Amino acid sequence: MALDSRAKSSLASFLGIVLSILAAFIIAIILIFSFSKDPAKTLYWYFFGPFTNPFVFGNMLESAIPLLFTGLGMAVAFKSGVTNLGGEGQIFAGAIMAVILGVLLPNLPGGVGIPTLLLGGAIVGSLMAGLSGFLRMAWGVSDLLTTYLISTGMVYVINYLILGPLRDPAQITIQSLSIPAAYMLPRLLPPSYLHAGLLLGLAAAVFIWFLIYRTHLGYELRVAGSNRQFGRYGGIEVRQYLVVPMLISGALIGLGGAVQVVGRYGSCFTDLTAGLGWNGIAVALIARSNPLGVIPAAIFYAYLDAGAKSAMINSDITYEIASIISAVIFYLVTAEAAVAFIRRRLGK
Amino acid sequence: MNGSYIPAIAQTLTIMTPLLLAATGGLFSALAGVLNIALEGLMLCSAFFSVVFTVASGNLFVGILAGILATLLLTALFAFVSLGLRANIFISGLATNLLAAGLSIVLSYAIYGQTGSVSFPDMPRLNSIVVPGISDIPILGDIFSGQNILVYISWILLIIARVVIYRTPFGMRLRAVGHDMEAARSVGINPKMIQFIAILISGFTCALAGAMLTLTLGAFVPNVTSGRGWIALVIIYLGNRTPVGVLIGSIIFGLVEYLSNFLQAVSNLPSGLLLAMPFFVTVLALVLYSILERQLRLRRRTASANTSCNLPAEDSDPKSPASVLDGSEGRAEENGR
Repeated sequence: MALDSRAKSSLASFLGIVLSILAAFIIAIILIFSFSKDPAKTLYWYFFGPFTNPFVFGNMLESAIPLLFTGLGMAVAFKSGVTNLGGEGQIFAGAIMAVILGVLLPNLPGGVGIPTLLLGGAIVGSLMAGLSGFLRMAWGVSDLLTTYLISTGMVYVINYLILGPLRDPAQITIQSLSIPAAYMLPRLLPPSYLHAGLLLGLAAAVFIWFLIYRTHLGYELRVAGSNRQFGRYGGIEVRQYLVVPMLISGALIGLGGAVQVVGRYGSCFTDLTAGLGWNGIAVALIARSNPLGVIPAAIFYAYLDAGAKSAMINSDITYEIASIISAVIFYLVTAEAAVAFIRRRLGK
Repeated sequence: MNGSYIPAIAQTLTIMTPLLLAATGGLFSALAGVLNIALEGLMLCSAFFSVVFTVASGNLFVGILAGILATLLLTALFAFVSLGLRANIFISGLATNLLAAGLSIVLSYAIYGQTGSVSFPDMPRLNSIVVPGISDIPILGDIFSGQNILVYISWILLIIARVVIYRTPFGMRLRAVGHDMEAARSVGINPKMIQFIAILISGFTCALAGAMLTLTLGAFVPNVTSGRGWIALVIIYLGNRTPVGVLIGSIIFGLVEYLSNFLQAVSNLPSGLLLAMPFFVTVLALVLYSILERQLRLRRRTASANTSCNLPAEDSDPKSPASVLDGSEGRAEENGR
């Protein structure tokens, strides 16, 4: 009977997500009818655009890659009861670190160079988020505020680096110097941009799932996350679990930034993050913070994004419609009242 | 230095006004126990709509009024989802910020055909008002006269806030809800209603703050708020959730922003780094505040005085933003399994 009630709970939770996604689609349709002069055409491109040819399909999967990393990073934070609102700065810092390392160390073999760049990105992200974790552990400073503030400050600093010391004068567009071609990951589905970072992201999801659910560290993280008092009585050194999950979360997000560089762009530009940090939070919420759930959630999110892009290119709406639709999902995905309502319906 | 500090003070007063407005309203939601991270989006909403309606009507008053109405609608949506549908308030706050950012650009594209900055050289702007009597006083006249109307309104609102919070039944209920929701409920207060009103108040002042940003500029710039809502939030907590603290915090952060602008104009320091400065200064201020607060609390405890703590993120504090998020996430996780 207990199992039955538990199964109902998780079914209700799943249906809650489906409901918020449906609501988001309804809003999308309403928006398209209000803003498009040719709604039928726009709707077609919005919903089916990402599947019309292998090129756009590959690009859609490619845009899921950074979301895998940011989604995983946010999932680890949520699971462990810490708050990381600094994804934007962490992914950006990971990307610029990869560029800096690639420019400074141009002559390594690819097999050494690529991991070096990725590691560099992960470490920078890890330190940024870890600093907030440390400030909370040492003096009780809100990690919710410091992650955001440090991240936003860093975005300005990195923009300065791109516009100033690291700018590539040979390029017409404003971008940083590029990493050597030998450090680029192979493409999986040319001519689309889909690259081997996808495999890395999938591996990361499996690894984090294993870490959270199958290791002692993961157990302590989860206990500290769900109830710090209980963890303390259970003999867990809970204070350190304000820092450790931040280090992991930031490392994943910084890694995502480095993957953007070695997989997709080869350099850094001022709008590289484009909301990836925030969208990572949405992905983690849709996945209910389950690392394996992050995979479908990231792909779904990438689909929404690709749909908006496709509708912008082929029809007459602007891309920012995607952030309104994300907002609707954000609003509803944690709504306990909706889940409770479904739960009652299932109970009958 | 003779007299050159006068324009600096006057400019700081202008710069700090959006912060002061947002923090004054945010103070109400903070006192009601709601960490309102939607301040940023609420400001942005009004920053957009007040320009749209000022341009359409040619009248500043109509524009500001429309900005307020639009922002109150968004605020009501945010409050309804958070309190009515019991969504995680931080996530719905993020959603509000995201919605304001997206909606302003989508509508800007629909109305003006542009997704970037749109400027209106001919639109009416907030002009400085010469206050009769004060303007003739040397020094003080140069500082306090000649500001725009929203600057004066922000001071009046701060005084009203102080009276409402400490001298009215509503203020008492507000603080009761923030202090102990269950106890408040047991004496017949409806905590959700109080929180709803408090969030609406923060929406109202954020609307004025947003209007101030764009109506002095004569343009709408995407993301024109650029983190001011977050800094206002920090100011509330650094100000120990009191009107006077909010005023002092706004002056300090106004000064930091003025300094950052000033150095951009006169020094060779890269402007990108100077733009980052207010954020790092804020982190530093948060850390110093927390250390100080902790010291004070330890001293009080040794003096065996029992006091309530207002620290934003103390593990044992049930009102802390981080632990609130922990708690609700924990519940979401239970549902998820």
